[in-house]
Amino acid sequence: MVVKGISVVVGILILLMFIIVIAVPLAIVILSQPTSQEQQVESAQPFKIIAKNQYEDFAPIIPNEEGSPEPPVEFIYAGNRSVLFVLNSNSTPPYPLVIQYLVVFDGSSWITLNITKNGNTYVAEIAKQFPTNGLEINTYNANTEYNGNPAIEILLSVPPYENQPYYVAAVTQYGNIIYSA
Amino acid sequence: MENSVSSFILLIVTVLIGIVAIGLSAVFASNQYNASLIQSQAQNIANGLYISVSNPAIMSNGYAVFITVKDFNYQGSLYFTVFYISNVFRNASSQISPSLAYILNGKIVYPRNVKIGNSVPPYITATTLYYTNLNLMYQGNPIILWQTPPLTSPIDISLVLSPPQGYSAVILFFAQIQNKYIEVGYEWL
Repeated sequence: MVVKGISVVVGILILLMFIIVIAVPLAIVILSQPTSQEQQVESAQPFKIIAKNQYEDFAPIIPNEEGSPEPPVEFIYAGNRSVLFVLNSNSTPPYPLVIQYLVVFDGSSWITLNITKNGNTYVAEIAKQFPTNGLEINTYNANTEYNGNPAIEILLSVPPYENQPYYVAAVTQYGNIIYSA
Repeated sequence: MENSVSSFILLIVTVLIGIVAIGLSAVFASNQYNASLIQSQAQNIANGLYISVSNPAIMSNGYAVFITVKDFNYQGSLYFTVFYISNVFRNASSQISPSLAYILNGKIVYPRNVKIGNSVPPYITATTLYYTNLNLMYQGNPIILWQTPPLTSPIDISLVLSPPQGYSAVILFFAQIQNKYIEVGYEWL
């Protein structure tokens, strides 16, 4: 009777060892998953904050000569198929600004226009495919002046519907949408 | 003598049952592990997704919008579908699914002129869709999923919406992971 009792206990001990050797490491692997996942969540957060901050480039925050606040960058539809990015601070915008493409409403749908450089002029033509190259908005790329400030002028191949400025939009490198004024 | 034989058999049986139990739990655990891997991948894409919606351009037969899509954690291509849902479901607590889509003559009504960068995107049809937590979102008639180009730079989806009275359009984004279409984000339009 005593011998039988010990054998069963030994059998259960073997079972226990199996569980410890196989089940415990497996459980640790599974439970460690959320930690690495949380890390990746955090990694996206700073980019989203930068992306949202980019709108400040167009917010009136710097004082002009008369003392009233102006945005560092202005996006203007000047009429006659011409749009302007005006660098009011006379320097590169506080948040790096790359215009990936322009989007214009032609009366029936929004059309994507790719920006290409032709000599000293920038032309926005109907985009054939993605990704588009984009145009960095800085003083180096400026090709004209607007009220004494450096500006980048882009000529649209498709005019906005009824020449309305709010039918011209620019999409930045983060996918932010900026409307012309 | 008989006693030691029977206890030996008992021992063998116990060990065998133990091995079978561990085998079953290992299969279950590996399935679970795979599911959590898919889920964490989907969640990663969902967390990096950055969507902007344009102002609507009103027309006589609806309105035109465009949606820009960028993902800070993922550069591959995504799938999306757009349909109309009753405004009743337009609150945070309700889960959006194509099974709530507006149907006319037995077919889901899609918006017109769906384009990515001026060209019509390729599309596939799917009969099974999942939420990010891998719960079943939709199973039934084939639903159209348009495919985006790789998200190496922001893309824009342009479309024309004409929702019926009391309905709004919603766009749902899916990632294809291990042949499953898993939701990574949505936006009301």
